[in-house]
Amino acid sequence: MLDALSQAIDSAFSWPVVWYLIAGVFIGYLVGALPGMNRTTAIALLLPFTVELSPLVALSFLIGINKGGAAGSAVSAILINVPGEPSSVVTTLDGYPMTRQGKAGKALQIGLIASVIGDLFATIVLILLTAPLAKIALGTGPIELSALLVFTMTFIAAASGTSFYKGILSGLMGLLLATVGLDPETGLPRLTFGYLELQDGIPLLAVAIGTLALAEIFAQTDMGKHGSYDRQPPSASSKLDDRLSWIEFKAISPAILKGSLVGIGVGILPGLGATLSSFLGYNWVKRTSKTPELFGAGAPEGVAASESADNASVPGSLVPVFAIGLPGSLSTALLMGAFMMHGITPGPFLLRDDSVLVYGIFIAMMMASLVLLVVGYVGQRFFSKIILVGDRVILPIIVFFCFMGAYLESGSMFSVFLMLGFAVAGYLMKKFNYSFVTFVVGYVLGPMAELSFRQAAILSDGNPIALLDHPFAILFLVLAIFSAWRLIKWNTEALAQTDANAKSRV
Amino acid sequence: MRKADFLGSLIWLGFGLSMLFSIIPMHVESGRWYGLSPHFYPQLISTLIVVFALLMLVSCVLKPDRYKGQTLDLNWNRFFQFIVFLSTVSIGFVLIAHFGTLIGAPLLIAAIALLMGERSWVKIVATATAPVILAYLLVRYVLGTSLP
Repeated sequence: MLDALSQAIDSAFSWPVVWYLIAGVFIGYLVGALPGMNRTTAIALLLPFTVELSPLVALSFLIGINKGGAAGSAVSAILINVPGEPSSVVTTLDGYPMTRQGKAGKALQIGLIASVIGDLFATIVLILLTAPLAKIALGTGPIELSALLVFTMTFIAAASGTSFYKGILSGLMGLLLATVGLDPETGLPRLTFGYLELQDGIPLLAVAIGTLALAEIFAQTDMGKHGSYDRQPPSASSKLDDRLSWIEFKAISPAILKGSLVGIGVGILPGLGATLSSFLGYNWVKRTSKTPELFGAGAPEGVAASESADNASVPGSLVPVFAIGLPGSLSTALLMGAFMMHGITPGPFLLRDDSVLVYGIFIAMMMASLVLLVVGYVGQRFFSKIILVGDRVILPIIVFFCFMGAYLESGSMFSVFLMLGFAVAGYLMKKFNYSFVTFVVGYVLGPMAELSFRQAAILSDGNPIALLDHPFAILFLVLAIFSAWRLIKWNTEALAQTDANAKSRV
Repeated sequence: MRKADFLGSLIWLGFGLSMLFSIIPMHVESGRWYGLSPHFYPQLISTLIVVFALLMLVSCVLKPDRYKGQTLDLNWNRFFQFIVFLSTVSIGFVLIAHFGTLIGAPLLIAAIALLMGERSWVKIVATATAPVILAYLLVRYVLGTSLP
């Protein structure tokens, strides 16, 4: 192990890893800060540029984008009351009032420090949890794995939106699309419709860029003319109010800790996402505060709680990827896709077979937390200005990058037009509230799911009674039913509450 | 939203059934194999699609209260804007395929910027040319590959 660790340190501190990590965090921060753009879009767009890189460099770059995006989204939330990403909606509640009070610099510093601490804390938890969980996962067979996949998909579908059926249908569509290509057992073409280009399956980037990036742009542009953000961030009223003091830092520390704990917990569970984690973190801190009445009017603890929860959910969501090989969110599904593009299957075997790479990624993740602090602090003024650039300039360029991303994977226009088709599908999914998370997770997990279902069917000879010999599989199936029932009930109650609130406002 | 979901569940149902009875039999090899036939997994998923589409349909009919407070984020005006935007992007991609990135991509970017309401020619020209040239050079000389 020490030998692997020393090799991992050597490779993680090499110049390519460090440069790409810095570039990733910077791009992520920039994308996170720009309203309307998000880290998932950035990862999908930049995935093709990582194909030629070594796995460690590529994954460090993509993880850097993920971490930078989570932190950068606070900038526009605090300065112009427009969240860079949905997960920063909560940050606007106290961040923007602080800006209006002339404490923009302080709010940005709180957001940054909370993000860095939350991220670092969660990365340490990830490192500590991965090995023991992977050891347990190594003991599971195809029947248990199939049941675990059923649990994951059901849980994500139930948690991801207003309708369980829409969530599960999206996931099934993802799984069905993954069957296109050659049959794993016989090598015969399946659902290729005579296209040679489809024999290797539908390209991941066409699916990811189409549904996540181009569809998002379609959804943003269907309102017609766009503009730039008119509101200028107010400058600080005095130097004293623009900096975070040590006493203030000590005061917000418990909020950061609580937010981080919530972020890790929510991140580990599949499908819940960073938005929910920042809401829960904020609510916990507000409920336990001695001055809850200050929340919503510029409480620094509010910014600290939501930002630490948002960032802690990023490494938290990587725990199931490294330990079991199951992604629970869009960005982790794309990261898993990046692993697969490099011929690596994440999961318990990866830690056993290529521990140097896993330790290298862990070290790069720790470095990314520090890079985040430097990029956020040094670039504060730059990011404050860049968010005022209008989407009339940014969105056309992103469309061009979508084209490039799809083209570069296969070197043919077939992928580009396939991506366009997925963009139309993604637009309609967005408009009719179908879950992207279950769709992409289903697509990425498709080959693994098929393999484990086939093995399970052969091992059990197609007899469901064989399940009785596998208590863990039964446990996962019971959990799937129970969690789906609880989450559907919870969603229904939340909808009824929203409806009642809307009526009372009228 | 309820009407949209009702229609959606019918579409899903139609899709699942056409997969089971038309597309899979026509486009997946059949026959007996040592293990499981290539039909097995796509058929399993299509069957599940049919089952959940039916459940969604039943839920739409029997539980209308579930849809209270849910509105559809789409109207004909927005759908028209989407079609215009989609057509512009499609034509742009065709132009790139026929005339190459250096001619097609700036036209695509400029058209989208115009469509989104940008009227400053300086901004349009800068937005349309600089990223394309930079990306072209990056792909060609750093990544060592090529664009159309």
